[in-house]
Amino acid sequence: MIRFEQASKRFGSTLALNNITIALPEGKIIGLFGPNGAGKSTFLKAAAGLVRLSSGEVTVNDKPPRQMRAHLAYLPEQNTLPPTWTIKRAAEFYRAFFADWDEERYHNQMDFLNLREDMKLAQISRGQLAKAQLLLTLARRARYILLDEPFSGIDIMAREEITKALIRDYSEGQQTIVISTHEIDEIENLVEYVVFIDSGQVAVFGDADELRRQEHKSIVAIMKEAFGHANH
Amino acid sequence: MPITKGNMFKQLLKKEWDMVKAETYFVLAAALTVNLAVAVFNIEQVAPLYAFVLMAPFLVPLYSAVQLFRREWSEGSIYLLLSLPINGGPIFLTKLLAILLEFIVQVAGSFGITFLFVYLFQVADKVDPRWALNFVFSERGYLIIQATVISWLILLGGMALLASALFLSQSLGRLVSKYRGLVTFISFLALLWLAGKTTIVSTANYVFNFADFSSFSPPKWPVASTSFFILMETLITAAYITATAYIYNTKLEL
Repeated sequence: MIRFEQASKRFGSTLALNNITIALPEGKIIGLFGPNGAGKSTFLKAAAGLVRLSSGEVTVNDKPPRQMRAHLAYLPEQNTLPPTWTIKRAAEFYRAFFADWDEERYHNQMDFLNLREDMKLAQISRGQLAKAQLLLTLARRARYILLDEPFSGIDIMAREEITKALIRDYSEGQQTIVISTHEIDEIENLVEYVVFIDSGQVAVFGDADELRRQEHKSIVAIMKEAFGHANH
Repeated sequence: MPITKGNMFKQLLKKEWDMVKAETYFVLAAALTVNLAVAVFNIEQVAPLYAFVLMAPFLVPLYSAVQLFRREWSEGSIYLLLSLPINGGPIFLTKLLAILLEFIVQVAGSFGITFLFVYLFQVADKVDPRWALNFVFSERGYLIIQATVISWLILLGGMALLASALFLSQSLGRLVSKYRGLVTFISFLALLWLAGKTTIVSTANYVFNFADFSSFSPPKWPVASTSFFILMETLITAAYITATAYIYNTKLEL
């Protein structure tokens, strides 16, 4: 379980996370929503052990995230792979580090996402690059998958492929997926839990179905109401 | 592929080599081009570029050392590194090894190509190969080879030290959000000063305390003291790499 205990992170005068206490349910798909600058990326980076909290604590399975890196798959918004690499070379690199790498899943997802091993990362489109990074993330049977804005700058067709690829190999109960995105409608039907973040604090957290029932609205509508200035 | 530390190390080294090989090929291609132009096509105007061919192997790896670190941020691959289930030790050790490998290949390539062209086109018909062979196996030839090997090791140690100082100073620069370039530059100068002072002072002490000056005859290379010098270079390099890995493990964040 990913747990934040009174977690705060300050960057200069900006308080990116403000005393957050939350325990994300295990084995579920969780949507992490909020306006720009709300603290979503910092939240995910803290869960992945990529930022150090100013105060408080974040644990993954009761351990500091850095000790759980073998079980965490983190996909940031930007490209993380050397542009001179091909997809094959990147896969070779991942294989050497992660015991949860699944060769069959890698090849199946590659076919599904219409990618080829010989594609050079510097020469493919932004959408293909996003899919290539997603492929490498999903080819692992990681216990925790953290996706930061996987749809950012991606056309509608590629978004659909990415969403389908996410569901395709998801092992319910065994994997926890946290997706941070502005494109709530893309994953409205995918997420089981939702976390709304604003100004570094958790504004809403709960079971997606229960929230819909209580509010008699879609998640998108709840989000709009919670944040008048949101994108949708 | 089994998950072993050896495989991880190999992949990291391969990644770093991927990042420096373009510079290496560029230096080798330049050496070949200049030598072909001068020796084969007799384009004398190109001759001053020999200075570049022979200096580049000492300067380009330092540029690569800066780039190896900087590109992790500019290309986003720092996210990849920080997500790996390893600490900073092997990451910076493989960066250092890639720089040393680049240095060795560039020196061997540039000097080797130049030597070969000079020998084939200017010396071969003037020197009797038997004389050259006899010289190599003479006492004087042995001393020259010994001096060359030790000089080479000093240069290799110096390159390792400079590269590790570049890594450490850039890591220190990453700890601040303002005046990053200035902090990096000043810490690099400070690390060089510290390394120079430590190496030279300790070697001087070593020579003063242990060397038998009476045995020094001018043509003989002072092997013991230069070996100690190389040892000091290696120890300081190890200390700088350890410090860089410590900062990576405990301070760096995105």
